[in-house]
Amino acid sequence: MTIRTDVVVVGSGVAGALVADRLQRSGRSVTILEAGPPIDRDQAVEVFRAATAKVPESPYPNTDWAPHPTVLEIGVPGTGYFFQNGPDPFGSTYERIVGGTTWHWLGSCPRLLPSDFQLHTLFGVGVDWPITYNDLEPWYVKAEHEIGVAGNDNAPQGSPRSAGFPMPAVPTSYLDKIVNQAANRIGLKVEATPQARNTETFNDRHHCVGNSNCIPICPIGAKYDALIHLDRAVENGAKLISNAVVWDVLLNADGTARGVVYRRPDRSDETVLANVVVMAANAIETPKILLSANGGRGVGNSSGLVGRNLMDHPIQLSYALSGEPVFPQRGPLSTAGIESTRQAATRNLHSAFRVEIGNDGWKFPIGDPTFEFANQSNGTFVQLREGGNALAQRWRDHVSKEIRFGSLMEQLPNPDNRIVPDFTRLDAIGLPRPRISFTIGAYVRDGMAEATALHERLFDQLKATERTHVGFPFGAGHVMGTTQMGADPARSVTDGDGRSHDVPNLFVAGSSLFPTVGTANPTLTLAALALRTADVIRRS
Amino acid sequence: MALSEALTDEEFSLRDEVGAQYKAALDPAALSRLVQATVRTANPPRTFNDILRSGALNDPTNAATAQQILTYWYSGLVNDKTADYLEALAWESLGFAVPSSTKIGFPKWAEKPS
Repeated sequence: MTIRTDVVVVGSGVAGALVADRLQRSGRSVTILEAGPPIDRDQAVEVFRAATAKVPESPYPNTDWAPHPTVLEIGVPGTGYFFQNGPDPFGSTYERIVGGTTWHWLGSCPRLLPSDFQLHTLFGVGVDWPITYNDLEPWYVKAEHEIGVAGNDNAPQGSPRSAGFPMPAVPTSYLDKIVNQAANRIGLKVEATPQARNTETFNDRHHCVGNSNCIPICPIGAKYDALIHLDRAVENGAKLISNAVVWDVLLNADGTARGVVYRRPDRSDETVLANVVVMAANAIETPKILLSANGGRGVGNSSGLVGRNLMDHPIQLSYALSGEPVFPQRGPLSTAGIESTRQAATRNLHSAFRVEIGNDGWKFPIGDPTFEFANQSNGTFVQLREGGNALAQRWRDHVSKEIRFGSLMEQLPNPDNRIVPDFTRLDAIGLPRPRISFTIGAYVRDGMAEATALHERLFDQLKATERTHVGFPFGAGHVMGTTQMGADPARSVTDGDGRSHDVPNLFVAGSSLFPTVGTANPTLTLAALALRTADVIRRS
Repeated sequence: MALSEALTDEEFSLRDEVGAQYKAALDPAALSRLVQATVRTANPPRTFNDILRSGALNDPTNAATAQQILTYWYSGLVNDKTADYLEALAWESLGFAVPSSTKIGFPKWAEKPS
């Protein structure tokens, strides 16, 4: 049976959910196609508790028909969903489930800086966006209200605001206060991070009660996830089809999009005919589909840039034991950061970065305090002939001083960093897996060195011991680029509204649109862009 | 169970079904040897220091077995499976924090624990 709809949205993460909700409320009929299954929150919490490695993906199914990358497999050659073509592993993962990666995101919602939209003009590297900060600012306001961002109205952090936040800021942690004292001594400041986490009842959702588990799953839904907009879209008449793996985009003879084809777990195919197609399947799956479509000839790729310029915010991770107890493992996993480094004058030379301060001790990204007793490389925390209260006290003292900094690097667009569908490596339903070529690059590595030096200065002020600076970048889970927006059809995939240069009724929503990535966690920006694109579709 | 609890100075108790999983994962002969040297003696130890003073852990096998029991209990992990997450001693012994996925209340994280 062929489905007919005004708008088909491919992907049910935050971008797809916002577009679907907005268009369904405007009177369009909307069909949302999600590759993976729906999730029961309570059941997923139990799966998390039973997992031996508390990785971001641990509560969620990795189905045969919608496999996803996992932290445990990244960097292990020959394993996992990605085919890592090197030279560096691409370190970020995502979920393919109803609601997408909003199930396991941290919830941080800083805005980009005005300068992030003009990186080439101001610093001579990267490219400029086809829109400015001022163009996007009203949509940032709308996005903050849609997803519910808690923040401090009096701390714009370099991004001018035309309106306040819908909720007061999430209180910073005791740990943040200790780090702030250290930062002040070297001329820096720790600031509360805007977060999509309720500090009061908002849209009928409970405020945060400090379950300390934003990643991988908030047990009570106090952190925004895309189900909020998916549920509302469905209540208003949208059709949500899970376990529907889109693999083709159909074209009319005039080059416009006619719809999409999805595959079920039993390998049968279904067609959805639509007046508008919105690709919102993230910055790996969206280009994979576009490049696989049309018999492998691709759709919307006259520029040759679909799948290229894959970017992340590679993380310089550093651990230590503070000289005094900071009491981590309490509350949201991060409540503050150092923002001034985002505006470094040296962005012509190396990455700017944002210093995220972790409240999660040493457990990033695969662990948990329990992990320190069953660590295959470091052995157990328990020493031979140690036990009783002496062990408990040594453990308590150790954990109370655990501190983590993670500096998120701005990575420049590089067309050689790309994802292509690998037709020689198929998944269980016969669809190509992503083949990823990726290089971190000197610009990022030099930024990581700067971040390491800053972490060291902070550790000095904290009188920290047992300092570790991880020698390779972790993925931030911020998958970006690959269908970049731009003014020139020869140098970009979509225009500044997210509309394909080649296929006028084909739109892209999500962080795949980013021409450059700045140093802000991407979700708020992609949400603002998605709302803006939905408005363009609504008016068209 | 008595041995496990003595290893923690009887500050914590181990649920039977969880303790059974830890026991099943230990070498039976090594466990028996440690039990005989500790809780089956005329004056069973009640604390870890009692065990140390008795000399039972001078035996390297006994010391390793005691270390393994505590590792299981603190981690909640045995043979690459989770036996008990919420009552793993890594969490339960902290005092200032509770296991991830359970609440401490808003906004306790902003305060220094009492």
